[in-house]
Amino acid sequence: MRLIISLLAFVVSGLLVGCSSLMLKPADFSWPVESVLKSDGKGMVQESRYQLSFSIKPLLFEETGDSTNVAGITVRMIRDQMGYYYLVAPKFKNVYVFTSAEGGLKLEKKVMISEAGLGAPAFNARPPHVQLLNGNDKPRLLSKSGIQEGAQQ
Amino acid sequence: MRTLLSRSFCFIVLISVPFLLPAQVKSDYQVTQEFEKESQAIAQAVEIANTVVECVDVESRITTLEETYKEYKALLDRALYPDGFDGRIMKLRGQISYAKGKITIIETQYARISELEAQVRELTGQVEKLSGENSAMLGEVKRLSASKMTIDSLNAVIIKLRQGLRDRDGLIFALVDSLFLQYDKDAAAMNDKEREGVAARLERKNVFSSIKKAVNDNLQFLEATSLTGNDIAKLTAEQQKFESKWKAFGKKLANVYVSGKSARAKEVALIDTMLTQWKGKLDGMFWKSLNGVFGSHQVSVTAFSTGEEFYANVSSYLEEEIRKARDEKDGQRYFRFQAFADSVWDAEVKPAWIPAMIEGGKLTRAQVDTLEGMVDEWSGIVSPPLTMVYVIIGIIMVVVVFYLYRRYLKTKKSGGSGEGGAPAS
Repeated sequence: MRLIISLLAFVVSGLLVGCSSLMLKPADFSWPVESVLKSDGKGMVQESRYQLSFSIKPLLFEETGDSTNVAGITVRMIRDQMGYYYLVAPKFKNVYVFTSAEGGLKLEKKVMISEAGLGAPAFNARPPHVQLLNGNDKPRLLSKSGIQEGAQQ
Repeated sequence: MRTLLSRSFCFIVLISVPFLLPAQVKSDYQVTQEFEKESQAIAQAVEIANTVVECVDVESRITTLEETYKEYKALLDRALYPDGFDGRIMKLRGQISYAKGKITIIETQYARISELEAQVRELTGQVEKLSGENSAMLGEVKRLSASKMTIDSLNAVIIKLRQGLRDRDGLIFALVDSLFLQYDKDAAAMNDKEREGVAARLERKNVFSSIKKAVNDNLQFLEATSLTGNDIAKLTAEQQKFESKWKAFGKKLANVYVSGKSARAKEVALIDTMLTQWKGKLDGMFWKSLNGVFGSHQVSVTAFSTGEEFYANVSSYLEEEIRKARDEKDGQRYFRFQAFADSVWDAEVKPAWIPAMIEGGKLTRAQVDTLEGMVDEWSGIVSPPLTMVYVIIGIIMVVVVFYLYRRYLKTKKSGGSGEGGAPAS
């Protein structure tokens, strides 16, 4: 019996090793500067340097409950070291953290910043975090899990 | 007192507010955008800069940009892909340096063009002044020739007129050169606007009239004067110079007046014809005078009227003389050579006529060398060898001295015997 168990354990561990995916580490996905993107009539935004385009309709609906007025909205976007995308726009209460998914961006975290809404939000790259500015407000550091209180600016 | 205190408090609060409020933090995006905006503005300023002063101003803006954003170098290096901060500054400096070089060239050219324009104005004035003077002198020559006035005054006017014609001819082409130089390019490479510009300038400066007048005056000069010898050779050289300059100018004109039907294109053809007349007249005088040079010294070279004929006839004359010099042994052969070499060939033909013939393409350098070789050969035959001459002279001198000595001795002897044999009276 002990022999059978040992044999099974050996086979299972061998299978697990064989199935684990190849990973290239470390990697840095961070953008040096945020991108400021303006949506077209269909709610699509286009990032020309990194060749990225997506629809912000679901994001606007999530934030404002309105997905009809989608043209000419300016969103600010940055990517952190880990590869997460941070999106925000003026009057947004939240910063949205997305991760790449098959054919889209998947919401990873919705970070509440201000109930009153942000006046003039902007991102800075401050590896390993992302800095959020809002006019004269004190800058805040963000990560995929939310606001990093006490982290060095 | 209370009012004073409250006022002081208000003042302190007011001046402290800016320091108490947190300074607005610039986002990296904003910094990048501001840098981009300024560098684009500088690039545009480079594009529209028209003077070196403007370039210097733009250069100073680049330096300020570099100084201002140096602290963001790390950010801009990452943000401005692929140039980076240094790359962008270098690009701007390169652009301004190129523009500055271009503007410097333009400004230099502008100065050069202005200089040439002034030169053209001055030359035009000189050409007109000389043309007037020459016309007056031509009239004077005709008047003096007709009234058979003293030859000295006629000659003086002729010399002055010749100089005037020569100066005016030179000035016309200097004027034409200055006009074309302003464009700093070959007429063939000019665009329509530039061609029109040159044509208009040629009109304004009366270039065609001046050239026609120059040729005409030269023709009249030939008709009014009976020139001979060296004068003809010199005038031929001047005509050839004029013609070669006209040919060079004619090529440029053909490119300016591309359509051969224009009035000016026809005028070009007319000037060509006038030049041919001038050349023909001068050629006739040239050969007549040169034939006269041989004839006046009784050198029997068969008459010629072209360069080829000159070469052929002089060659046959020399061949014949060389043959005779070999066959005959009399003293006449040396005198015949002397008449040819000293009075004709070395005195007149070689220094005055041969260069004009070579320059005019009437004779080649090889043909001249051949003729020279024949003259040398003739000289070698008729002239006694140099050492032999000295030996002969030496012998003659010895004979003369010996003869004189013998005579002296004889005289002394006879004198001595006469003295001794005379009876005392």
